[in-house]
Amino acid sequence: MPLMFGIKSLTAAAAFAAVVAAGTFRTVEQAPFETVSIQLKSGKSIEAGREEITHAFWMECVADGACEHQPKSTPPAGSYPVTDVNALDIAHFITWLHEKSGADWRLPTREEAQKFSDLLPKDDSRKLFTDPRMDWATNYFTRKSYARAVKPSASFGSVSNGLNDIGGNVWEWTSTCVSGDTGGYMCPAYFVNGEHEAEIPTFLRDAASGGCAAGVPPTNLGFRLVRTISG
Amino acid sequence: MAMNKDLMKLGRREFLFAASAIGAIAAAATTATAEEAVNPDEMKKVAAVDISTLPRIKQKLVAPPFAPEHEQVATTGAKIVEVEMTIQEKHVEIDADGTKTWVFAYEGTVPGPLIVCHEGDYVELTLKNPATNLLEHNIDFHSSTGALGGGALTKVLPGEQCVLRWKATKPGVFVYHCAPGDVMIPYHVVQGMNGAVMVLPRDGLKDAAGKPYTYDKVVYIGEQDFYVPKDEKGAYKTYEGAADNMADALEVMRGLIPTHVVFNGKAGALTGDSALKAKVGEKVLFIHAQANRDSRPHLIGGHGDLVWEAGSFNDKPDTNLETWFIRGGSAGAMAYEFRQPGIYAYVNHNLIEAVLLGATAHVVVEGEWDDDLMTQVAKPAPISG
Repeated sequence: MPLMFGIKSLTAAAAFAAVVAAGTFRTVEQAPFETVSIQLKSGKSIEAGREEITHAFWMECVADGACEHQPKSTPPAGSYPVTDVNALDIAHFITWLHEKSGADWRLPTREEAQKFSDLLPKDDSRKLFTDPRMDWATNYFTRKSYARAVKPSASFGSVSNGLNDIGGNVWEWTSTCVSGDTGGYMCPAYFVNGEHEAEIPTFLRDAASGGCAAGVPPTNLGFRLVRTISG
Repeated sequence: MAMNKDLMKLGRREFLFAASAIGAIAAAATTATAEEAVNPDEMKKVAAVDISTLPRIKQKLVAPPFAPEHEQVATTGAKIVEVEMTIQEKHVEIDADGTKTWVFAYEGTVPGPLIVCHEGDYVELTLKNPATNLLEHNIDFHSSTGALGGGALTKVLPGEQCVLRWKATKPGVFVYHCAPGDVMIPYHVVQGMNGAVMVLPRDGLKDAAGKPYTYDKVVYIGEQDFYVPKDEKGAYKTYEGAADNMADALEVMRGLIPTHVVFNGKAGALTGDSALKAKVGEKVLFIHAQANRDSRPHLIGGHGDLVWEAGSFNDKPDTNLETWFIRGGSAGAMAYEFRQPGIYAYVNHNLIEAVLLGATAHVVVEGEWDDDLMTQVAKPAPISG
């Protein structure tokens, strides 16, 4: 039995814009962006943003004084994903959103995010090496990468559950720390999901400045939010 | 004056051409009479080398990081290697952000193509500057002797072409670059107008013990520093025409801090889907040219087995280096036999330049992992005890 996916279109973008403009947020039940509900194999179901959090939405948080970090580039008017944000910046955003809406939006876990990209077309030629001793090198990306310029939301199309831009040129932070339980210490790096999985240091906002010793780095760093519906 | 003697070997036109190019010093030399420069005896000396009997081959130049087809050990006597390069002024992307700059590119590539010959050969270059270009260009071969490396004899305006023949007397790897005069010299060089020549000893390369050394392939890397002007908001500026950026670019250049340091014309030109490829057991000769600025290549995960750091193949190569130095305005060569599969990064080991400015290439190497050389004894796990 394949995973079950239902799509519920909760809000129209225009309606959301009106709500934000009026300075009120939706209640716990209503999402502040378009979402897709996804039932996972475990029986758990989550509601995930259909698209990545936009630059415009991020700037609302900045305007409120809750997000200190202002991304270095400003996209044209319209719906563009926010990029140039690190895991700590995102924590501020999530706190702000919680205070505004009362809802428990969060980053997806590594496992949840992997479910998103499992739906991408499979390309086994991407595995460079099969020897387990070569695991460190096997995800090196030899296919053509996307150009870096951030494109309007939904430019990279949708996967079968209705999520847009999975595997596009914005890589998405997850909530899973690469070192597992840090025993109260700050997590040094998180898994980031994109064309392949990467481990990105917590403080990094831009992993792709021009070179990378270990492989081709994520093109841009952004995120989408999810919340648990049940399970 | 020693310079007079050298200049006298040139014909009158070339003499004057060279004189104007070297400015004040040469201006003094011109007082040593132009008559001497056309002295028939001197002319005979120049003409005494009859090369009409030498075989000619046409070398088909290829885009970097590749080398043209060539013999490592010469199987014939001296020959004339004919090459042709057309100069292209073009607007190109130099990073993944889509930053664009104008480049002046020999044969359309940054760096210009690698030319390969043997010691004692003659290289005969036809240089074409199409009428569609805007600027005068020329070429100074560090591997050649006289007339400012040929620069004084190769000034071609848009719509012109010229032919220069020079004798390869020094074996090694050498830079060539455009040097049209004054500020145009650094300006053209940092617009990508440079490349390299490899002059092999007739009997091929020798290792540090003097034994013949044969490589399996050549990787040709041209490192380029770009100085792209920014607007008041800090965004890179773009310019409509080939030389529109000049005033702004000269200001950035004067600060000596490049905005980009890249291999083969663009950050990422040799990574990802364009990464270099090799196999375990393969011996690769890396040629690294930097026409303007010092660099310090390093192969992450490997070594420089044999390194001709300053480029001369008459010198014994250094062995087993971790990092080697490329003087600005020179090319060097390094040979390495890959011993482990995986990903290697070939970088300028000023790591700021490698990672933030773009000077990184990757090599994807196939083969069997050697546990003797390296083993992961314990995977990262929580500290115990």
